[in-house]
Amino acid sequence: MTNKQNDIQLIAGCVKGDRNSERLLVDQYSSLLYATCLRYMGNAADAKDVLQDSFILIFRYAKSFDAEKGALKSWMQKICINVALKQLKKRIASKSLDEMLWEPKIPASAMENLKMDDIFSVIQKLPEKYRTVFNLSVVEGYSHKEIADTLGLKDSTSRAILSRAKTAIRNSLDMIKKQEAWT
Amino acid sequence: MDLNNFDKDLIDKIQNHQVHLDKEALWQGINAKRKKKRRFLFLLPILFLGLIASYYLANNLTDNSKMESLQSNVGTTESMQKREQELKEDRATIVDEIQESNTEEKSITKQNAIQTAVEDSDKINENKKTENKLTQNAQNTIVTRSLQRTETIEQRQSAQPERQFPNMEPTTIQSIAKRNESSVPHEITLTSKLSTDVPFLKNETKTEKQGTVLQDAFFLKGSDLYNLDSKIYAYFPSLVEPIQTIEIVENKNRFSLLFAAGYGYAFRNLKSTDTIIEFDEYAELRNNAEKTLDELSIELGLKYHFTKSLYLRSGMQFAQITERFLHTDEYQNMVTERGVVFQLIGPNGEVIESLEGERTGTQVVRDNFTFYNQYRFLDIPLSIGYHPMKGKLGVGIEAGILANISLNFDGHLYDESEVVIQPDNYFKNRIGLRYTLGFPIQYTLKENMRVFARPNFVYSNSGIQTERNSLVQKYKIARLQLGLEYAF
Repeated sequence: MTNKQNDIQLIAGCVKGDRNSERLLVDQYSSLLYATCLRYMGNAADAKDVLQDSFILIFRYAKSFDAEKGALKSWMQKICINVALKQLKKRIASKSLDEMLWEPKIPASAMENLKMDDIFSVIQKLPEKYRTVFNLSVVEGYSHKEIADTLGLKDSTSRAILSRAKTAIRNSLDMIKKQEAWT
Repeated sequence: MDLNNFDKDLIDKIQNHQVHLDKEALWQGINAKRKKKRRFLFLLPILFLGLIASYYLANNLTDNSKMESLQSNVGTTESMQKREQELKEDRATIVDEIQESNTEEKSITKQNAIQTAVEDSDKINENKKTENKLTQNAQNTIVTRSLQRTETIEQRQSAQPERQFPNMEPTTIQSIAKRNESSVPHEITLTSKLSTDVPFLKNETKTEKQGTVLQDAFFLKGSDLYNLDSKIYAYFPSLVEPIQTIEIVENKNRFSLLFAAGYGYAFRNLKSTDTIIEFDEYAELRNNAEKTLDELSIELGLKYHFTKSLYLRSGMQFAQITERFLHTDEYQNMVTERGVVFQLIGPNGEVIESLEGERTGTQVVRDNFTFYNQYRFLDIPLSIGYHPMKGKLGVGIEAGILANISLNFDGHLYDESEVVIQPDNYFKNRIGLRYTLGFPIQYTLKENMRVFARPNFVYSNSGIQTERNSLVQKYKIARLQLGLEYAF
């Protein structure tokens, strides 16, 4: 059985309210979805909370999943992102400008041969607004207009934040690389 | 790796990155959250049922305690018999005195006569006060007590042939003290209807006899009281007489049928569910094009009355929400310098008109279309209401839930590609739930008929999905319903 067939079978079980199918879905995709949540929320507690809410929504709206439109994984990730954004939107709107002007303290340099965990960890440690814009823009491929609409920002602000986020990531990764060189 | 230009490989890696977590704990957490949400949903009907039960119990207990109070006012059978005996003895004494007075041909002055009549009147007034007190008790206990004696002297004479009843015409108590010389001795007709409540629900007798009320008043009458020469005699209609048994009554007809028609305004909230983000623009398009106009409803309902004020209402309610859909079809016509029209016949025999010549410009043409869309629903309400009546008028409160069944959609709308379509009669979920709160105003027309006006607000908890996408529309409706209610 292919992955796609397996996904369809699992989701069909969820539509019927079959607990075993739900449990299998959780076992199969929770690590991936948790990473997505963590990438947006920045801490484990919030990420787990978002993940639980997302799974509840996934079970509830299982019947609206259309296998012809895309993969189950992407659909579930989108749900997680939406749930996360819903929470972040409130927080981001209430953040001061100071956070937006956050600047990395480490100078930039080139980076190579970095571990995925390092990159992920750096993204996770970015300030909330930087992290969200970076994720939406670079990872999810949203336009600045879409990001601005989603987060209630101006297009130009979204661009500026993305630029600073990239600089921050670059600097952080550079620092990690230097530390590894010393050890 | 250049971060200004993240390569696809890195993005894929980020997207597919996995972080381990305790799956069992996650599963438990999901289930706990789901249960919490479900528990909240179940809480509402439980609260609703609890409210009905507690009110019903409280109401029954109050009725019982008031019944005891009434009985203590009325007195026990033993005390009644004792009092009856005392009054009989008093009566015998008075009769003896008067007979003695007649044999000795003692005269009675005009003042004495008036004094006697006034004293009688005072006694009667006292009795009236007792009656009023009983009336109050009776009203408090939702009991109708009827004290009535309307039999004529002829009837009484035939019932008691051993007694001598004078041939007198009935008159009123109040006129006794003010009687002039032309007045004649009279029989009292004491008619007291103690129930002042405007009836809507008829009553039936539950207990025929609770006790005997002693009417310890007596009425002394003289024939031609101002004529000192005339022979005085007294008439005692009845010194001790059971007035009537007290009847404990209960509501007989607990059901009423109602018909109502309503007009309201529906506030629509149409948006994409948060699972699929790209439908937001489509939702905005729909929101801009469709404007809700009004809501019309008719209802055939049934009420069950726990008491005269507390009821449960159910029935069927048909509702139609109308909205206006505006669509502008914009296209460009080519203008040529020659403007020569020629015709071609199309493959299906249709005529195609075209212009011949070189294009000199374009002409924008806008065709505006207005469609009236209709959503039709069937609601099954289950509401509890409380409406205390003050006389014929009453203002109450009513709250409940409505099982909302989507019947059909008739109209036009945009599909996701901004094309106007006339969708098929598709609903993702036909059954939903609504909550309602209203403040009915009722007026009793006659014994078993009322008219009412019911301003109410309806809130849709569940959304309606007419298409195969994630757009959900929810309604909040403010409406006024007018209707007629008939108790049976």
